[in-house]
Amino acid sequence: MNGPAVTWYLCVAAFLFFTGALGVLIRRSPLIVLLSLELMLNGANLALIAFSRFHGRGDGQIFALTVMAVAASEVVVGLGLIVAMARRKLDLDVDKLRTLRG
Amino acid sequence: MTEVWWVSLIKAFVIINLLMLTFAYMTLIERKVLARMQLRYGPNRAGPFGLLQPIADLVKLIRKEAFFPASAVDVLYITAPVLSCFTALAAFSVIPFGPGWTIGDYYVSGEVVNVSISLILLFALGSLGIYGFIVGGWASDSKYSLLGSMRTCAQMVSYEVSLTFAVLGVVLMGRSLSLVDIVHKQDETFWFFGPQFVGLLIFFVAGVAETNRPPFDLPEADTELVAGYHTEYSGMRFGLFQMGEYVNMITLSALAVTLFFGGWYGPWAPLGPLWFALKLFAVIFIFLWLRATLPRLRYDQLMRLGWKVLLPLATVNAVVTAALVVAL
Amino acid sequence: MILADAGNILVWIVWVVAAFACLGSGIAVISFSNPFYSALSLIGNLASLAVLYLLLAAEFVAAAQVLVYAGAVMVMFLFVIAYLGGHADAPWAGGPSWQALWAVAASAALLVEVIVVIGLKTGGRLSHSPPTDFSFGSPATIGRLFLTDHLLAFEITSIVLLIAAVGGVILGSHSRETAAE
Repeated sequence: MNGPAVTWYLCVAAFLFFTGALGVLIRRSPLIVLLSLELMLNGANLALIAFSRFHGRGDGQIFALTVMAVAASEVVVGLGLIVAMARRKLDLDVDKLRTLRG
Repeated sequence: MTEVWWVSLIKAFVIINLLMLTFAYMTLIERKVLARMQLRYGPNRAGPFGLLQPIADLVKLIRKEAFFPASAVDVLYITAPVLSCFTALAAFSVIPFGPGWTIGDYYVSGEVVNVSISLILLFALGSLGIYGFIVGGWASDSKYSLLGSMRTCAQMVSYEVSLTFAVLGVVLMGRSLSLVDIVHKQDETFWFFGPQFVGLLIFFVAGVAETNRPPFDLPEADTELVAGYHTEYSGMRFGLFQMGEYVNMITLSALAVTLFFGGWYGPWAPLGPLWFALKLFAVIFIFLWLRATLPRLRYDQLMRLGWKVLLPLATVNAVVTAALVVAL
Repeated sequence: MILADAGNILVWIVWVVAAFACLGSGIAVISFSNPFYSALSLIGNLASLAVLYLLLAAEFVAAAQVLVYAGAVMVMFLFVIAYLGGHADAPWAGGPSWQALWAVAASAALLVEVIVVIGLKTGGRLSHSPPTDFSFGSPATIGRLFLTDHLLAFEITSIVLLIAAVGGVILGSHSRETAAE
């Protein structure tokens, strides 16, 4: 069954990555910045899996699973930070949270 | 031999209808069993022995006023019960209920679909079902709904971990993630409820918690948070949530039968689906029995049980099983 | 694009639907002002990505994506968003600032550059994939690779997850607030 060539998947992956990058640059709420980071990671995952299929080896899929695990860990820590900030009644705005001092 | 695509389609249609019929009569069976355990009759007015009671309930639900809270988010409010019911029904598609048969020129396999990852497909669909509850509770725009749905989902996510770990022992013994292979392996060696007794226990307790059945039904108990995530639902939308819950219970019982009790194999005569149905109803009866006998767990007791008791036990079970499988 | 049989057309249709769902939900993630809707769009994005992974014969990764990413990570996100409330900024409030315009231009430039580089470097070599056998994306293959070639990655991933779990517990505990004041 011949589907689309790998190039098409790479275009989708590139578009996803840059949509995520745009989200990280433009949005001010740290929750949405985290979501855009997830978009970028997923774009990279898609590129990895596409190349894994292209070469016929499973290594890209291993890398994609590792990326997924790291993304999960990063979300845990990021959300913990956001909840801690909200508990201290800080404004959830990445433009205003400029210093490391709470 | 592979199945023609329209045979799969017809089989899927038949299975879904059988599932929904089982759900309808499960409500009656539950009320009858609970009643007999409480020394009373159950519903016996609608039809002989109350057999038309599910029909009466269905007509009542359809005719009820399905109110719509004014400040609810419409698309999310309507699609939440649909999502939870859809994932519950779709998860049954990988359960094998018989050997394949050859009818005329066509081959009919014993499950709707067989993939090499059918077990994690089932768990993935279960995880997606959680969104029905979260979104339903949030979209109702009511504090009771939000709190209840958060509690329900925290409970479901916690016990899902223990559920997956408990199944790990069976996967190690069955050497495959495909449910069909696991059933065949049980025929070759022995049914897994013997060696995996701890796994079965953990699976059962986690399964009862995962489907929000008593004694783990605090988030939707009437005396606690009004009605949890389905406070603001009525009529057939509420019926869809109930269908999702009961079909989840049926799917989990079917999974327990497949993983631990030999699937559709029987001790003597080869009557595949009949043995499967018998074992399925036996496991469902245990679910109903638990409802009739045990008191409800408090929320902190519930979470403590999930994380501090079941998870370590399931991990130890998986490690010991792995060691024994390699050694023997 | 040789539409040889009905199977091929079906693959193309599924690909088009999944790819456009992916891109549309990606744009929706960065466009909604309510973070709850953004999170729901990301869940749609993850589900359509799982379909794309299935088309690329990576079945275990697709199931893991739905089970782990869409089924657990996003539940965490939705919990925090429902807890913190939906007061987020509107992306274009107050008119697009110079910063936002330069960000869009920079992203678009990078996108074009990446596509051009891929096109120039690989030429026509990306059009033909080798045929793969049945066990290509199966759990057995992935498991064997994890435990033989990539054992180090496997062990390090488990440590990373442990660190994240410990960090989450520490960040979420209440005593930090009273200790700092």
